[in-house]
Amino acid sequence: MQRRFILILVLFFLSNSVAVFAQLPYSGPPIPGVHPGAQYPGVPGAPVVGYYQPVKINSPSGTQIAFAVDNTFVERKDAPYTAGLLLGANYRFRVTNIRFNPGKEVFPTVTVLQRTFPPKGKETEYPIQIDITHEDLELALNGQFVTRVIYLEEPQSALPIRADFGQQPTIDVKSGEDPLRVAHSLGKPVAVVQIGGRIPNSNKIEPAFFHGSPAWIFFDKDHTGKLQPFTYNINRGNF
Amino acid sequence: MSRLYFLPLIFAAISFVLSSVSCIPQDRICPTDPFAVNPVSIPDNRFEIQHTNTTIPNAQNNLNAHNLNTYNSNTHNSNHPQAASNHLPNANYAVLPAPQNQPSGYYLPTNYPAPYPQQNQNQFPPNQFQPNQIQPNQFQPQITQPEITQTRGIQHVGIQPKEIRQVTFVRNDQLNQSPYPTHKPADNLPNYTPNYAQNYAQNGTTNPQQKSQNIDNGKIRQVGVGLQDSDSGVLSAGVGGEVEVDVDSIRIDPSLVNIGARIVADSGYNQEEFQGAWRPNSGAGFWPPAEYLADGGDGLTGGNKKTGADGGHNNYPVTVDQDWIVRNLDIGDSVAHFDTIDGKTIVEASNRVHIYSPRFGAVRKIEGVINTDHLTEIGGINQKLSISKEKSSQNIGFTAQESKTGYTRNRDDLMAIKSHNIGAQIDSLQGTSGYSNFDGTMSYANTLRLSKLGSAEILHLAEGCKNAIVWQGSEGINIKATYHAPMSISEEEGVAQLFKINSEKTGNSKLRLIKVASHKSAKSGDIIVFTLRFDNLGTEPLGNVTILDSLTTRLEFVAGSAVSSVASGFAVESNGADSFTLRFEITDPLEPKQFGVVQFKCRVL
Repeated sequence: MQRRFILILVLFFLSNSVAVFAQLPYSGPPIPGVHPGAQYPGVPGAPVVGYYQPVKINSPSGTQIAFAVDNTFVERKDAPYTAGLLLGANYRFRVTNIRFNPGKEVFPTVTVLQRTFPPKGKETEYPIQIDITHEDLELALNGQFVTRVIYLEEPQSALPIRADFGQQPTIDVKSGEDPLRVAHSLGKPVAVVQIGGRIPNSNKIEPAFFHGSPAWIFFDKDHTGKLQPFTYNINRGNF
Repeated sequence: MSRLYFLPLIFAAISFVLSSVSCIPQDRICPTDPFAVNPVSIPDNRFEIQHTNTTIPNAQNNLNAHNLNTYNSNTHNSNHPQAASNHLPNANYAVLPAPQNQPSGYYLPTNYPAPYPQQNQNQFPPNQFQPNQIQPNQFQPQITQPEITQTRGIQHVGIQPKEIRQVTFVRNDQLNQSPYPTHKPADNLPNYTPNYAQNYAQNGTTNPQQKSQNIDNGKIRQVGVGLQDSDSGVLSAGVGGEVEVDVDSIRIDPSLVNIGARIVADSGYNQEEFQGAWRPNSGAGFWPPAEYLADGGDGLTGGNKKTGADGGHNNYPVTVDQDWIVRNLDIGDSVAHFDTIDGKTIVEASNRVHIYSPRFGAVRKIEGVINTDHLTEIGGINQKLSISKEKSSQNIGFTAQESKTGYTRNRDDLMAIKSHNIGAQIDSLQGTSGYSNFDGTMSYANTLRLSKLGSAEILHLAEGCKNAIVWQGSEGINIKATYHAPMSISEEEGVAQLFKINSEKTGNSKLRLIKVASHKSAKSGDIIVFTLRFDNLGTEPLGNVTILDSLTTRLEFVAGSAVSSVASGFAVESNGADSFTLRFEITDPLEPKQFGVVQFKCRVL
């Protein structure tokens, strides 16, 4: 009888301890595909649904980039390409006009993990910089899969290297390492880009390939943005 | 009896229900439900002035007197009954008009303060800084600055360290031997005789009359807007307006190190980060400091005591040894040390400036199978497969070995920047040219030139010169005064927001060091002009005034850009973190009410 009572007490405390842990803010690296606001519940100023984070994709000169609307790639633009993307959503875009690879296409995905907080009015002037090198595209065209985790450097520990030469500092990790964890140790991961992998079926539309075509904003060179039409029901929170 | 076997399950079920309910606290969502919509709206924490204690009585009057921007309290959450009357124009919120054609939903929340009228911005012509108004160009260009041949690594400039600096250093136990530690001979300072030093040794001050003085009627005059937290009594800083504050009411230690010290973490996502006294003018209350370049102050007195927000990993203040070795100078510190007439060496930190300059890095991982081109024989029944041919057809360019880019970074190198002590000797002390080379891009120059803060410059001081203005209360521009009102303390003029009272430390010798930057946001490759103004606010001359600025690793000193308004020596040293420490040594003693300005440029990496 005494043994059963102890068992009851143990089960009771275990069940309540789950609730205690559940209330703690998530302290690990951001989870791709989950809105960052959900990872910091109750935290004042945490990201909210509906914020379009400006992202600048710096692919090699000459390449062209197109994002998708309604499961279809729309008008392609010359790189660099600045767009406002929803946090936590997965975006599929297309890179064409790759040097030395005429007619070939690469279909990377990008997910914004965290937003930045620039001064008012400078949101598009200081977007998240995502560099895609020609080597990345070549690797993807040859069947390999490249993952790039973009992180915000800690300014106090940043190395004194010039970053204005057109390529951001990059660290390569080994096959057994998690690039998200490594980026989390270096700073704050803000975006994940995956290059390579699937190519769309040209015979039929694949909604899963476009991850639901979430809404986005295209910013032209004058930093004026236009919200693109979308079929994405934000109220479902299905990202 | 057999029913008792179900008791654990029953209790477990009840506990699970209870845990599910408690998993949803007020205004929170359960993190286990990733699809839930976050109901938390962005609280406008920038307007912490709502919690301002009413012990700032003349705030609104001073606001009107300065003709500051109209403050539209309707645009804020003025739930506090006293919030409307106590709303002070904090220039932190001096925002530019939003870009045209912004899409809806981009700026969240939308309850921003009204942008400043255009006519206010026009009050700041771009070039008001005319060096010839400071004083005639009486300083002939001296020895040209050393050329930096290498932009990185240990820099050795010149020869004969420390020999140029011929000083008579006096400690307290040597007061009877020399009256005054100065670069000049003692006969140039007739007012300072050994009697003064002896008087100090006996009475603790060189002027017995000053010993009985104290802060007049218990009040100090605070220039600028101070926001007092009603709960903690902590005074945070703002810019604009003048407020007279009763010392007794702000509950500060008379020997306080800082007024308005609020701990703000420099990284991570702990709760402290969200409770800063001041928030930059971003679109929300969340403001990771990692997006800002911080420079200035001291690792202890002006930064985060917990983590060393300005790059210092130790929490010790900067000190100067008797052999002129500076200790604990962290990366990003800007301090000045000087010698007093009674033989003390005092270190004073500047305010800290913040520049929005995020830099992004990338971690790359390459996965995939080996890409080979094997020769496939379909109908080759009668043909033997050539081994050599198969070998030659393999593409060895794409093996499993990862390719490395030219920007591969070694994480172990981070350890190299944790040493902040200046180990190198001063290699060269060479004079700078006159102040005619000052950069004239800053329109708030009256602040630097005359130590006078006009009403037209208050906003611009906040907007342009100090960038993030006051990261937190303790990082504002500080005035230090005890017995005597500094020259900038008056109803009409003054550049500071907060007092820092530390009379026990400095006695009658006080030096104020103000640091401003020409940009409040910068990208990689941009040039930023830093200006340091130092004022003798005390009643005694200061000797051996030396200004040290240890640049952060993302600030690269532009060779030949350092200038000074007073005769000074200049040296560039390595700070042990692959960056530089700039050292200005003011040649002549700094008389009371005398000031100087030094300026240099840095490139943002």
